Amino acid sequence: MQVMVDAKKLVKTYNRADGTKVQAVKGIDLQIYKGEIFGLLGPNGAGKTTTISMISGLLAPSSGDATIGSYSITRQPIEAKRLMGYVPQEIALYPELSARQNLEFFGKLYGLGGKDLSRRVDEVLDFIDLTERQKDRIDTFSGGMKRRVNIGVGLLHRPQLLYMDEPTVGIDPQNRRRVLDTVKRLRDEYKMTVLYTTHLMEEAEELSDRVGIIDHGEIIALGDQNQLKQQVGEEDRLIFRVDMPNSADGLLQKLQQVEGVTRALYDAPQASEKDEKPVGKLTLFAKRGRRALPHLIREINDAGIEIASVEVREPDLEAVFLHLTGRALRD
Amino acid sequence: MWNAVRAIAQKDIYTTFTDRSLLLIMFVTPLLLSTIIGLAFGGIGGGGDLPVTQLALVNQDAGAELNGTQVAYGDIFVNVFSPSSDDAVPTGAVCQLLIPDPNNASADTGAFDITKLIKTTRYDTPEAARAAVDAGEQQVALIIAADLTQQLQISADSTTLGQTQVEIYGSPAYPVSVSIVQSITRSISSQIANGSVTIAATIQSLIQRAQIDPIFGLRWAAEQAAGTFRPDFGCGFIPDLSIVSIEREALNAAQTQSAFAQILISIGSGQAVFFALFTAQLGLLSIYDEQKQGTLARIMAAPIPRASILIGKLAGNFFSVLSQVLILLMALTVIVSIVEGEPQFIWGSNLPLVLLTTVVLAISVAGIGVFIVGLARTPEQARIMGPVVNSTLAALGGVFGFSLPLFASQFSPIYWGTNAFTKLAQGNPDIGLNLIILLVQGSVMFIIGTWLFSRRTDL
Repeated sequence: MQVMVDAKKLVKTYNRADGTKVQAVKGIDLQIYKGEIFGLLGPNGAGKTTTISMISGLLAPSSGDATIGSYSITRQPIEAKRLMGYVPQEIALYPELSARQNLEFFGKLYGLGGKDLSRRVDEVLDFIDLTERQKDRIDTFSGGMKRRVNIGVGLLHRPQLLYMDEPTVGIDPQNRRRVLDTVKRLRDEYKMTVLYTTHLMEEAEELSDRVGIIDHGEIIALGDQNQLKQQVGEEDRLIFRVDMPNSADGLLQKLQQVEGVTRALYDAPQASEKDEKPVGKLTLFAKRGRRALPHLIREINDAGIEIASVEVREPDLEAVFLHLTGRALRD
Repeated sequence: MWNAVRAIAQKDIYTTFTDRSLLLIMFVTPLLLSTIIGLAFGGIGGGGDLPVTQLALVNQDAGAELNGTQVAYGDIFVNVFSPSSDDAVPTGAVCQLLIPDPNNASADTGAFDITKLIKTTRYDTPEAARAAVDAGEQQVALIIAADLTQQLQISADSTTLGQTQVEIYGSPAYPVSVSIVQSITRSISSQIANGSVTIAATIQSLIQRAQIDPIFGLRWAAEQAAGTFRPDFGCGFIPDLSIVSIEREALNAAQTQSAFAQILISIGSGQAVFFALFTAQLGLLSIYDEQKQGTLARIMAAPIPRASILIGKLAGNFFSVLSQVLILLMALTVIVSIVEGEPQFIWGSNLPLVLLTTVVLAISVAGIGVFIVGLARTPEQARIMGPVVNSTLAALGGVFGFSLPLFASQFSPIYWGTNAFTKLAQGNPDIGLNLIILLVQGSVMFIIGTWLFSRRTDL
């Protein structure tokens, strides 16, 4: 497979106000193939945006390099940037300009002009389904419409590679569905390579051909979804919402002795939760989880703990992250 | 690269000129302030407490003999501007319009107390008076030429007015004071010209009567011989009694414009520059806004050199400032035309120099803007520093109607700008020093500011 992005030992170090240094990205190696959707999955603050900023030439890496096509982003940034489109996390548009004016402005920065620019803007407006509203100012648009223009700007110059940094943040389910469908169309119809960052496991699962899981500035897992899920084996996750004392080590030990259970984790209820009665989250990894379920319920009941709800989940990317870090993605 | 520079500059100019609140600051406020000040001090508005004008007066008028009587029109200026002076010559009760009644200055007699408006100091030589203005001791110098009476004299032998000069040497830092003195001087000179014709007509009628009435003729000849013939010519200087209408001769090119126009030239151009300073700073601060809203990152992701972003921003800023100043200058001309009731161009006849001055001034203003924004460590700091620096420069430049000593004013580019515009409006093209100072100061600040700013914004 042809490599579109090849990042090698990318490091980004920041100086803190107190003079100490912090490494936001710690030597990332990453290859993204032509025509695939690559999902970079990780919790907030894991280093996704910093990584994508270095690969797109927005941030200079402290060390390491990345090539886009055959161009180094540090040594040939102009050539490399010609191949890529960029869709930032926030709505990076001029609210006082119309949708068309925004598209025309950014199109000019990518070297488009004259009739070519006008034609391309028409095509993009049609693609994002905003032809009717093209002359309206951006600040009159809904959040979903702004998102669509935000994506449209990244597509203007028909890039081979599109960076999308959490493009569904803050939009309603209907518009989110629209964005996800758009991303799939870009790959399927336009053969575009897409690097998509998200902290939502469901999005990464739905879209990605391959996934890189990032945490604390490091890629902790990389591969297609099946490869990653194999890391947690055939284990199901059994999630109990329980009213349990903060210190319940004794019960956890008992539960781990139930047949099939490999691991037990407990998240105590958060003080800020607004539930009438705060409940904790008890997560158990078990092979053939449904079979172990009655035994586990009995043990918990015997301990005098009230169960609010039970959920059984088959292996997914959330489980992979939990398996690798001991924390949930949304933590 | 240049396509990107143009796109960024065009976008910035468009967003600047479509922002209603910004337009209010850029155009409506300076025009409104200039018009109010102009009307209050120089036009139909009148009233209010006028600032006291410090006048240096030099009367060199040697006088002339008019049918055996020694007349010195320069004394009329002394009478008006310095009524308590030792050599002020009383010209009779009918001249109350010009001479204040010290015991009843505010009485409704048509008289006014000029000493409340103008504090006059007499100087012996023009050089001393000009030096006092240069040193900031005086605001305006009024220098009366030695041949004033001789040139304006009309007698039975000579019936034409000659050319003479009353020089007004004003500090550009005191535009209101200069306008007041100019306005009064124009009024007096006009009355002298009219009065001179009136006197000639009166003498002519006396001669005719002496020819018809031998007793009157003998009595007149006897009084002239005894030196007791002292006719009261004061009435000749009352405008209502002017029996002949003559075309007013300009004593100075500046006097072709009304006081309102003159105030708008100096105050208006000062206000234009003052508010352009805000435009320059706000324009550059928009980079920080773009950083916040993410559009700067998006621009930086485009395949263009980073320098083109900075150049585009600076170019957009410069052209916004230039357009603002040009539009304000045109609008001030329109306002004067409307108030005066006739179309006129108040900035003089040298259009290329007016344009050159505007361009150089825009460079200077943009330079100050870049320097302040570059000097500030944060946009918040720049938003505080900007108005403080702008207001200080405006106060030094005389934008607020009061003035500081000349040496202080010269630190402000607003002084050099308004001075250049005032000179051009007066038909004086000698603005080389102004342009050099504005250009050097603007360029140096522009370069240093750009360097600082590029470091702060990583552009």
